[in-house]
Amino acid sequence: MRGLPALRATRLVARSLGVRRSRALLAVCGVALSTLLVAVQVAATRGVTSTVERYLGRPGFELWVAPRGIDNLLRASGTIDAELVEAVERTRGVAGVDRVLRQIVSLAPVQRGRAAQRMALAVGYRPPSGAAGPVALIAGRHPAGEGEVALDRAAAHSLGLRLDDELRVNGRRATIVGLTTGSNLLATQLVFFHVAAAEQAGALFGDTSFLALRVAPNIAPGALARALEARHPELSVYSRAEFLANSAREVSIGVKPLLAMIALLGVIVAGVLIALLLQSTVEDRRSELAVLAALGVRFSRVAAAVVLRALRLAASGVGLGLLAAWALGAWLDRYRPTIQLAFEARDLLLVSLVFCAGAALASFAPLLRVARVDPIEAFRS
Amino acid sequence: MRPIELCEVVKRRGRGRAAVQALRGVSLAVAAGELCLLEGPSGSGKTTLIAVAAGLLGADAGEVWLAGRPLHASSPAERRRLRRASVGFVFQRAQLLEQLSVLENILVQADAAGLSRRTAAREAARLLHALGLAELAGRRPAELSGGEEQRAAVARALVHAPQVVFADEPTASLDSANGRAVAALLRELARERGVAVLVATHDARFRELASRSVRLVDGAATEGAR
Repeated sequence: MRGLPALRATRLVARSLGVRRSRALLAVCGVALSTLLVAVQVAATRGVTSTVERYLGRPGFELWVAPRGIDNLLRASGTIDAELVEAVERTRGVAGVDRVLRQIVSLAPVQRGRAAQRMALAVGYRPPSGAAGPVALIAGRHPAGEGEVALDRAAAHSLGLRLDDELRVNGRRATIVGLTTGSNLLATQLVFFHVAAAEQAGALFGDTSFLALRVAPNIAPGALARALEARHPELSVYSRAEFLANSAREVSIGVKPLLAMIALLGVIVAGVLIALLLQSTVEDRRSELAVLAALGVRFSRVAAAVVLRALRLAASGVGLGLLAAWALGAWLDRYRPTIQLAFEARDLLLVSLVFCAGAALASFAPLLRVARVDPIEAFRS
Repeated sequence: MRPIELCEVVKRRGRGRAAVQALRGVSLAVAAGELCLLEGPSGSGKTTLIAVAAGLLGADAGEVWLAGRPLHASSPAERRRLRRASVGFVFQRAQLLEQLSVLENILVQADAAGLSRRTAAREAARLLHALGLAELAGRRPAELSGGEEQRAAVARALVHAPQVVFADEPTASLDSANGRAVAALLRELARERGVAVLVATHDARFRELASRSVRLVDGAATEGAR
């Protein structure tokens, strides 16, 4: 083998182009802040979409039936009248039907009234295991009848309510008998009712919003969906995966472009910081660069050293930023649960890779400067 | 063929009205084992001559032969390859890389020349011992005296066993004892290792040690062999 091991030799050259600690610290802090910004946005988006995935992705119901044109749970209007519900229930191949009621409602603490009011997405379901029920109860129980609700814990926190407290739902009194998790969609939270009790309070919900179907074992869900749509043109039928994907799309479609733009700006800011630091280092280290060039050190080695330096800065900043994001997520979970951050390994890896790629790109301008260093400068004292 | 040969070399520096003829038809040859002095006032073209002879700058006219290879007919990449393998430099202020230890400075040159890890380590250790720097291998340049720094620079210049060493004012920043030691060292290595050494200097102490001397004035060699 010719030469020292490439990494060792590159690290030697990288060390010879040492960066001033104060500048490096500033750059690392800047990259860390940018990473924090991007990671929090990604985690917030992931928090919402993964909530929807957990909520609607549970097995048991293969098909979802909605009024014609409605394709998701979150942004929907229209209802399915009782005759249609019965017709679907009687359809061959349908092993079971759960009705789901859905409505936007106002929630307000009894004592504080409208001043503290907020809107929520109310869901009527068949406790304890009916379709669209809460993913998990962290306290209390499922609602059993009229005047009882299970409320998302983030909504309860923001309203200053606890288990067994009373609140007004569209002006009607109800008691919080359960607190739920996995029901926070960032822009809104879920409040759960017993479907029969919600029907009795007709003014609250009205008719059925969706039907969740169990399909008989020997029936293909796709064929049943097509048959139902053919027989009932006023209905749309989706597989669980389709309904889930549509609902996940709806929670993020409005914010994704904005988040993507802000994330891009974050990466650009980090890249500019690294580029400025490297540029100033190259200027400071012209003499060393000239010596390296005169000694015959390959440009590729020096370029690798500069990129390695950029990557190390980026890695330090990204590591610090991700740590800060994780700490912020833990703090929010405890003190501000309305903001839910979900950190997933694939997201963190992607954020790290994007920042490292940005850092590598940021080395381009400093490398142009390195390429122009004249080895004759090594002779000037 | 001698390791360093220049024949009627012309080199212009600068552009337009600021352009000057730094070398005017300079001819020079340094044999293996010879220490040749390059003397002359500041601005006479000594550094330009070293740069051209080492292949750092291309000549505008004339022929330059380095280690038996024609630099004047070589591409920049070929000149770089030849320089890595066959040339060692000793600069005026040692120019050690301040973030690295003495040993690491030497390894940078070894790596540039393509020495294997084992050969580089063995040669570096041998040179550090021979130059009395074994105890200082792990120290950074800032922790060395001027003489120690320049000896470390000499070790760096020799680690890849070059055929040619160019030294630009190697004793200018040293006191008289250290200056004498470094001059003697360069003389010794030229003789013992058969290296052609070209030293640009104002230091009169080198005159006693040099085989030959060339004087440059305004880019022209005005004095020949002694």
